[in-house]
Amino acid sequence: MEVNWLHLVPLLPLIGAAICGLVGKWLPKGWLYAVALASVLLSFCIGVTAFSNLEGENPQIHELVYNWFAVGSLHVDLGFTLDRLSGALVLVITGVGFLIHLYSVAYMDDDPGYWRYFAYLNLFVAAMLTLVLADNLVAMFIGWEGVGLCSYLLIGFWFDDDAKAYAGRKAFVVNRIGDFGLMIGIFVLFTATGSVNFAQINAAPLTLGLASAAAALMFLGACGKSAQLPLYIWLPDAMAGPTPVSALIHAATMVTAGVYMIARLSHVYVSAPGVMAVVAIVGCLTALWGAVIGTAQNDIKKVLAYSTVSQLGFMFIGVGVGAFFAGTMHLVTHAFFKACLFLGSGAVIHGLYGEQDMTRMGGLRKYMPHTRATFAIATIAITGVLPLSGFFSKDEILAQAWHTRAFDFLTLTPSGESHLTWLGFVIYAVGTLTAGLTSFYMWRCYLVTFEGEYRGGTDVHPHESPWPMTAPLWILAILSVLALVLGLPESWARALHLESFNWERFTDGMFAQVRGGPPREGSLLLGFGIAWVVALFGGLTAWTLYKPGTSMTGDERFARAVPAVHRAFVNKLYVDEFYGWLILRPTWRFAKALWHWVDATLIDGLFVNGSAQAVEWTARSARRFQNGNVQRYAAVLAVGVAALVLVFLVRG
Amino acid sequence: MTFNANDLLGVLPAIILSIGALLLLMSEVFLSTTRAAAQAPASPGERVAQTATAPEISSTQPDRRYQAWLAAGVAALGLWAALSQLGDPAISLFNGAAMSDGFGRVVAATVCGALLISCFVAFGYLEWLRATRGEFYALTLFSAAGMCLLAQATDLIVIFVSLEVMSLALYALCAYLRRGKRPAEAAFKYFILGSFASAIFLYGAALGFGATGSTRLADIAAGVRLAATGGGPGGSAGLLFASVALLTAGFAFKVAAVPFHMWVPDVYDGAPAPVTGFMAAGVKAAAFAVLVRILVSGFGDPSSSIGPHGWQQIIVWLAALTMFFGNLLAVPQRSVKRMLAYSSIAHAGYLLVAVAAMGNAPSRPDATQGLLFYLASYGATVIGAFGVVALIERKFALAGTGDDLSSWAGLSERHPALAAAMSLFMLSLAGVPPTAGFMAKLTVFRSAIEAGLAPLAIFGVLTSVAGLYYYLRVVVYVYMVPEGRADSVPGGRVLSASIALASCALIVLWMGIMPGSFSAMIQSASGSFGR
Repeated sequence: MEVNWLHLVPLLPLIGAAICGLVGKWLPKGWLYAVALASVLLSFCIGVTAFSNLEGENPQIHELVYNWFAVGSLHVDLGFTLDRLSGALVLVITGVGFLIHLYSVAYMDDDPGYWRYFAYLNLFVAAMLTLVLADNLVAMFIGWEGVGLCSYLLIGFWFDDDAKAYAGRKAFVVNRIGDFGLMIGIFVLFTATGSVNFAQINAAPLTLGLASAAAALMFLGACGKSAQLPLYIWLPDAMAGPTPVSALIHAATMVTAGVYMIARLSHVYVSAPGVMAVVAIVGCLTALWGAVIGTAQNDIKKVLAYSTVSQLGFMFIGVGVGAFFAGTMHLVTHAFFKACLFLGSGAVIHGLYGEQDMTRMGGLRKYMPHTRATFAIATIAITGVLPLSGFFSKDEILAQAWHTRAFDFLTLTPSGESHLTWLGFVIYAVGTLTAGLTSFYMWRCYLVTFEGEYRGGTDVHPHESPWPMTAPLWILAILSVLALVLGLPESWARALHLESFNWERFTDGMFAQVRGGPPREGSLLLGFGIAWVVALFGGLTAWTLYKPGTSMTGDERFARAVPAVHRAFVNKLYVDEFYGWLILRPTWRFAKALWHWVDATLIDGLFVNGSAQAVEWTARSARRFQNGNVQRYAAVLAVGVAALVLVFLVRG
Repeated sequence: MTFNANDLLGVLPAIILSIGALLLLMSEVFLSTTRAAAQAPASPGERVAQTATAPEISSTQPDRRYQAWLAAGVAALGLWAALSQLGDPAISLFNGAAMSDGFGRVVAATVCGALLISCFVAFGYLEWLRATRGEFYALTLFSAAGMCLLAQATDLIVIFVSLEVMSLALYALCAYLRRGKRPAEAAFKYFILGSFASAIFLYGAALGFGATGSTRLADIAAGVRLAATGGGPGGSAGLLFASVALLTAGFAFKVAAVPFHMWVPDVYDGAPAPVTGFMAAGVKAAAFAVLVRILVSGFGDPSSSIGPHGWQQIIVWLAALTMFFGNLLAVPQRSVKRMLAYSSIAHAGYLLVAVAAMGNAPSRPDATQGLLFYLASYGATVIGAFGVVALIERKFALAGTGDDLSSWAGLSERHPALAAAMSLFMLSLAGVPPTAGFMAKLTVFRSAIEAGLAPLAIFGVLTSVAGLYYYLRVVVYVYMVPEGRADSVPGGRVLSASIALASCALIVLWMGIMPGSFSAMIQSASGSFGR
């Protein structure tokens, strides 16, 4: 269906950003808040209208905004497509985005840069909406870079603090590496298919080589944006930004862009089964990696950051094993409960006047009942102890990994006989272990923060937050419960008459099918049972170690038992140091040598000073001609004419 | 030889502009000097004006503000005339002496648009300096009429006459502010060197006539074809070579290609900023139009060695030299006006890349489109940039220091909108997305690659990187250097200039973000020179 109003969805927040950024400084606070909130809310309403108009088999609402440019064979239109996937994401972005805007009204009220903050936040929403709605790679890339820019601006929002400005820069630089891959991937796809349009790319037949090259390069971009190994290191540092930003950008929306991109290009990825295996393995390792480091962090936001890294790994497992619907479903449910967790941590930090260290918290259930209740619900959702949304979406990914046929035709060597059919089960096993760890570190986080006795200073009086902060918490907590309907197994959903909400049915026909076909039949209850047991086991371990009254003894016991391992966990497995040793120090040495020999001697000496001197010399000698003497000008002119005539005659 | 009155419709924009100029001159006669004696409270500009030796300035001049609006109205009418004919089929006028085709109409529209915006820029400038005199707007209209005719002329005699109509008016406009030495010096240099270039052009035209017996470009094209096969009068091939060299040289002067660029910095610097902006946009458009016509329509026969094979390589070298020296010499400039003058030379280089790409028949439609896009986008940008300069300059016009970089420092503090506009124009000149300048460079370089001139395109991209340095320096001064002078922009009488700057900024953004809609508009022009 062609419409002419879809562009309003990203345009409204963009207008909001323009108003906040250009005249926000002089607007009354209330007006600014009204503009910032209303633009996102209106965009949400349009999204709801559009979404409810989606009917029939794989429906689409499309708008060709205009023909952007045509240079040679490259035709790029600015067009937006709202189908069930991008539509659901539009609702998440604007819905969760609105709640976080509301939350920020209370959270950022005292900050002198509030107008700048809301301008960036609105701009982010506009860029993210462009990213998901774009019907071609170039427009998506604009949104992709736009969200990166906003992320940079918001991480370094308090740029007076060097560490925070540095964190912003780190995020930007690491993402550049990924974006470089993405850009080359786009070039490869354009060269191979002659188009940048998603529909045309997904319809074009691709050779294995080209598909693999494009898919691998674009996965590099996804690794950067979605914080996967080895490019995840920027995300924990990104916690330097204001907490609502962490909730919106670094948990719910922007970091899932990589998953979205792979799902959008599912046809390219299924043509490259080797790359899919890489995606699944990287996702699996990242999930484990993030969970392991998360167990030993004492900064509440760092725990959630590593948890996000780990959960993004789960999503990549989903898309990597060909279960695109499972990966994107986890994207949606994760947006709810992780945003709720982050906003909860923000409420704690706000109530403790900036304290982020969990060892100086404890017993907050007394002071912050709403925060505690919602945090607990979101924790249950993420760990999957009870059948909340996280349980179903994560379990769907693991079940799909176990039974997938995506790797059935894959061999280690070109002529190899043994197929990698076992890879799916290995991923499943590691994923299940990770799920147990997830349960452990999330319950540890909850217990240390909210249970037991308050351990902070006596001068700090913890208090509950005002309603603009607690209301979004409750809405998100309720959503993390309700989102379970997306993932109910089909037989259960049918029994409860909820099958129209089933995400797998909902997105049916949108994604490509892996070459091996649909996954094997497996026992539903066996998978569920294992997941329950593992989650309960993780939670119980956390309870025995960190139960009220024995606060932090868990960490001590852990440290005493295996000091080396604990130290490694606390130090985030020394990854930053490893990179320092592997990349930074050699690069530094190389750079120093380069600086000395090439830069100082060759470039500075010859090129910079040399070219400066050359410019000066040229300018000086040109000035000899350019001295204002008109006879001299005429002489140069005459020589020029003579030269031109001579050249023509000699060539002729 | 028959005269067909309908042919006059084909040159409608030029006719409208000429009639407007005549109306303005006539109206001057009926003005009374007594009526306005009571008007004119002392403005800061007046105080400045009175300190200088300016006998023609007195507080009893008549109110001439209507002239700006009349001129703007005429320009708008001309723009409408050019645009309304845009889709019509191409027709030959006056027995082949002129041509009304998409190419000429787009250039005429560009010229009229430039004139329209320049009227707004000039209005506030002249009023503030109390320098509105009867001839200013009439002269701009005459020169614009010359430009429109140039874009349509297909006969060397007509080209020469239009060239002089345009140039003579511009010489006078350069000297318009008769205060201090610099404007007079600039105008005089421009006049002397311009006459020299005209003489060179005439020499080329005479040789062409000698070889082919005609000054019509169509006949010259036939002569070129004949000479290639060894036919025609003896030695005509040599004469034609010399002819195309001299004709190229004559217009290389007008477009400011290196080494014919020497006049540009002095003239751009000495002329009033609104005139400089109009000159940069209008002369460039008209001169490139006629250069393309001579080279492609007159000497475009691909089978002949005098044709594109002969001149394409020359143009490539001219383009490379121009891009290189234009950008290089702009680097040390501290005067923004002089910097923009050298930048105008550099942009002539980029436009020459498009001309070179027109040498190959397959890439000709794309290159034509690129050239026209570039001319329009450069026009909008450069008029905007000189419009900001005019605002800064008018306060210091007499001291002659108004455009030094130091008087731009801290502009963003006091005039954020002006600072943002200037930065936008600088980014567009540098070719940074999402501005018009980026799309213009993209289309031109793309057509050059299509024409097999990839090395030239790469060289052009490299030189444009160097350009970033001096364009961004202005942005640095505007935003990051603390305020130098307390009040570099005068208050009052900025409304008309603001309208002009805002429309320039909108055009720059529109062409940068939605280039497709502009390309669609000028689609009819891309086929003007066939394939």
